[in-house]
Amino acid sequence: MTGVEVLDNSEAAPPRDNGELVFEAPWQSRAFGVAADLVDSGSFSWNDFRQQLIEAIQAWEALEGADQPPWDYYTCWVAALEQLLFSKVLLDPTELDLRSSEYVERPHGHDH
Amino acid sequence: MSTDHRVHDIGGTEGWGEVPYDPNEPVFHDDWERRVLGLLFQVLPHTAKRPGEFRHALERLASEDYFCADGYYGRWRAGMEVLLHEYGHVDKAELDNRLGVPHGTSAGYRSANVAAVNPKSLPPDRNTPLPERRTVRRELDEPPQFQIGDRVVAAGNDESGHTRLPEYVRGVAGTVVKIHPAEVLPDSTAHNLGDRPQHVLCVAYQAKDLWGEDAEEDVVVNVDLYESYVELKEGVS
Amino acid sequence: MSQEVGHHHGSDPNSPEIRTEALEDLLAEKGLIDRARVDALIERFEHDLGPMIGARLVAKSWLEPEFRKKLLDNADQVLQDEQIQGAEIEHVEIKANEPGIHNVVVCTLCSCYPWALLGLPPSWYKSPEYRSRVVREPRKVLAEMGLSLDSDTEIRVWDSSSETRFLVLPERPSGTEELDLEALAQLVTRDSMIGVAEVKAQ
Repeated sequence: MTGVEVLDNSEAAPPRDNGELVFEAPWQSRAFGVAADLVDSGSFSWNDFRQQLIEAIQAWEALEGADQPPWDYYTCWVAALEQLLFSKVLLDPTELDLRSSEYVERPHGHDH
Repeated sequence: MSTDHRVHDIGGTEGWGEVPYDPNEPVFHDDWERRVLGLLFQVLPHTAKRPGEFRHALERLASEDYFCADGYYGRWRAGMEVLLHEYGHVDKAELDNRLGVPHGTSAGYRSANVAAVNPKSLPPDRNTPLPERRTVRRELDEPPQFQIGDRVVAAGNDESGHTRLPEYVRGVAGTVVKIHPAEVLPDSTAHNLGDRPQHVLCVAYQAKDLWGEDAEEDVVVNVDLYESYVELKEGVS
Repeated sequence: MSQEVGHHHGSDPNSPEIRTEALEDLLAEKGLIDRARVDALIERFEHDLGPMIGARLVAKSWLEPEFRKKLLDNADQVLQDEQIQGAEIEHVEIKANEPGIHNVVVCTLCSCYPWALLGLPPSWYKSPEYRSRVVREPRKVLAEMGLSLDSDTEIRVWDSSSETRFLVLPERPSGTEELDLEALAQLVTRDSMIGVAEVKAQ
C-alpha cells in the first residue's frame, strides 16, 4: 500500500511540512485520495501517475509569461489524473466537461 | 590531523557559522530543486550504479561547486554534469553550449579526475552468496576480527579514492561498542573493484581524544567503520 | 450576508476544484473508486508518511515496554513486522534518550538520513555548518538550535558513515499520561527523532 513514496523521490513530490502532506483545500486531499484509490484498485500504478504528473509539471513550465498561471502542485495533479484516465479510456473527456459545467451552475450553499 | 581534507570530509572542521535552522522549511525551496531530484533518477541508472560511485563523484567536485550557494541540490546538479561527461553521454564542451554558458565553466572542468585506486591497497575480496534483492549487505562466514570492548585505531591512508573513514578519527583510539551487519566495502565498489565485504564496527570516541582538552565535557562521538579501516590497539580482557 | 444566486465558489468549470469534484463523482458512479476507501486513504496519507512513521514507533514504545525493548534490540525485525519499507533502510538502530543521556544523529561525510522513517531530510541537516560542528561542539550547536541540556547530560553523537541509519527515541514528556497512540504520535517531531529537539506535551 505504501508506494506513493515513489513520488517523493522525484520532481513530482507533493508538498510536505515536517514530512506531512500539506493540503491547502479539501479538493486537494480528495484529488490525492482518488488517485490513491485508483492505484489500490489496480487502474494504474504510482509509476504511471508519476510519469503523467512529471509531464503535467513540464507542460506548466513550458508556458510563458502571462500564459503561465501561478504554480499550484495539485492543479498539475488533477491535470495528470485526468490525462491518465483519458489515455486509459477509463473516463471520457466530454463526460467530465459536461459534469463540471453542471456543477458550476449549481446554486451556492449546496451540500458536497 | 592532516590538513589535506577532501572537500566533503568536513566533520570537526572549523570556521563554519550557525546552523541555518528552520523547523518549518519547505521541502523544496525552488522548483528547480525538484527537477534536479527528478533528473538524478534518470541519470544514475546510466552512470553511477555501484555503491559509493555517486558519492565519490560529489567528493571530487571543486570546493566552489561543493559549497556553492545552490546548496544540496546544486551539489547534485554539478555531480550529474561530471557523471554525464565521464560516462560519455554529454561532452563537457557540449554541455557548456547547451547551458549557454561561457566555455569551460561547467562543473566537469573543475572536478578532480577519477582517482585511480591501487587494488593492492584494498583488503582481499571474499566470496559471498549474492542476496536476492539489491542490498549492500552480505553474509560472511568469517566472524568479525574484533569484539565489543576492543580499543581500535584507524590509520587511514592518503589514497584519493572513495572511503567512508572520516578524517577526524584517523590516528585516534576508540572503543568498539557494537558490531553491525556486514556490507560491501564502498572504497572498492565505488571504483568497480569488487564487493570486498566487511564487518562494520561502531566505534566510540571520547571528545577529548578527538578535539583536545578544551573539548566539551561528556561528549562521545560514535562512528561506523568498516573493519578493514582499523587495527587492534588493545584487546578487551 | 448577501445572496449569491447561481454562483459556485469557482465559476470556472476548468478550476481544479470543480474538476476534482466532478472526477470523483463520475469515477464513483462508474465503480472505479470507492468513496469510503478514498476517505480512509486521505485520513491515512495525511498522517502516515514522513516523520509520522517514526513518530508512531516512538509513541508505541512509550506505551508498550515490550515493544520498546524489541525496537532497541532489533529495529530491523520490528520494521519488517510492521511492514515498513522504503529508500535507504538497510539497517536501522534506535537510540533511546534517557535521563542523563542525549543522542543526536549526523552524517558528516554527506547527508545520510533514514528517509523511510522520517521523510525527506531538512536542508539544515545537510548543511556544512551542522555536519562539521555537531561532532565537535554538540552542546553548543544544540543550544543554538534551541535545545539546552544539563551540563551533566552525556551527549552521544552518531555519525552515519556506513549504511546503518539512526533514529533517536526521545523521552516522553510529562503531562501526556492520558493520551493514546495517535495523540502521542502527533507530538513527536522529526527534529526530536534526529536529536536536535525534545518532545513537548503541547
